[in-house]
Amino acid sequence: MTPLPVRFAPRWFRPRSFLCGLGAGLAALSALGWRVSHLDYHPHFLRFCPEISPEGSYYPTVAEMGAIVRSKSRPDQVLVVVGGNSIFQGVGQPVAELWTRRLQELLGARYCVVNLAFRGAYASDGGAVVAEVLHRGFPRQIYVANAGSMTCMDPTGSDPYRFIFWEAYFKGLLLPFAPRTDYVHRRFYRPWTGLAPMVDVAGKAWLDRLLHFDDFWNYVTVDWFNTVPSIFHPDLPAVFAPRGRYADDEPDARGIPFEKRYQPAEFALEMQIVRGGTEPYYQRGPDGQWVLDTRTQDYFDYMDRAAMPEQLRERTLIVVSQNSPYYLDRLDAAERTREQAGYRDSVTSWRDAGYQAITYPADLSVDDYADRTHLTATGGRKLAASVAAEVRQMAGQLGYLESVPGRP
Amino acid sequence: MNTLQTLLARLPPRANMWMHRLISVGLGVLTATILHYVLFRIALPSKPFIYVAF
Repeated sequence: MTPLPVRFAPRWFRPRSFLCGLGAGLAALSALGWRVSHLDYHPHFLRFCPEISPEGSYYPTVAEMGAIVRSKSRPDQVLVVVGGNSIFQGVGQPVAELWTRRLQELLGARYCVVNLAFRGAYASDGGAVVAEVLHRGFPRQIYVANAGSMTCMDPTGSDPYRFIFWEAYFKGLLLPFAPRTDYVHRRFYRPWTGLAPMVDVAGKAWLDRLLHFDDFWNYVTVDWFNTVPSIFHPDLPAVFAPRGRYADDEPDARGIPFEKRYQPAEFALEMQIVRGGTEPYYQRGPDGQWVLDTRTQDYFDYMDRAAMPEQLRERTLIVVSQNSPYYLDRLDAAERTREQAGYRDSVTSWRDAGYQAITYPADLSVDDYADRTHLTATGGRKLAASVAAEVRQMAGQLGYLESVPGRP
Repeated sequence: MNTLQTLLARLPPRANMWMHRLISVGLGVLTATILHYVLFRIALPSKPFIYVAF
């Protein structure tokens, strides 16, 4: 007896037609993804508000951020990309009073300021990566980011935002730079596991280069319907609302009562954080002065030099952020001296590694701070004035203000 | 599935063949869309931002 043939598919199913549909579908989606990766679908972009940042489970791509910059900046302008953490992102400042808007006003039409800072990010995260990727198209660029006292750059960025670095790294978008490549190998490649920990990251970047799924679905998420649930709008029907529909509603910290901004219950913890910023790195020298330990110095120097190529370091301005005087004034005399040594040595460390570096303007008062670290609109205005002066000076030194043949 | 089979069987043979192909192509496109979306979603971090950042 001949057994009856077993059919796993219905009679109407045509495998060749199915494969044609599969191939054509992937090709069409890839082409659409490539197309939208060149579009700026954040027309009113001023900064990454929570709905369009990893806090809201939204992960902007390098191409997406590049498109934002391209749509805002003209080739004849000096591009000023702002990176760093929530302080530079402008937490505590409503859109109308965002410090980077003030910076743009102060710098004028010869400059274009784009704020690509993220909450909790390092100076080497998003903005730094995008500025480097755009370096060939926008050679007259200045990268401005903040960093805490006694902190350094991680050449691959911080954990929550490392996806941006990996995308640029594995897609070959970064400038070739051996010290950074060595760092990546030393930190992420293991002799006993080989490439295994990196296969998902590298494989994803390779597939995305081919299929452009990140760009396509981010575009759908922003413009058409949300495809990734967010903690900000978890319920129906808001969960499907396109991310682009939400406005940046950052509150003005000046409207928040003082006791909420400087909560008495958190005072001890905040003081501990302030002290912890410098305490582990300093010892008293024989003359009673605070001395930064050499291992920390060497580590910072190594990391900062490996973070970006030399030609990018010289166009990078690091602003060493300071804690609110509300807490600094409550340190004892010795701790205050150590705190000042921390800011001073941080600036020296950045400059030694080839960066431009400054601290906050000296006239920031308690009212200029929204809390221990973030600035209010008034603090943002003072910061903008200080950064604008430095940016202008850097642009002059770097020859950006000289006329370029063929450009206005 | 049987209903679809019955409906297709009522069509003239040539139209029936093209309908089979068209439905299979449509199914392929749908699979491509799902695959494309799954590739996007599986690459997203599974840990909420707050636990990664702090």
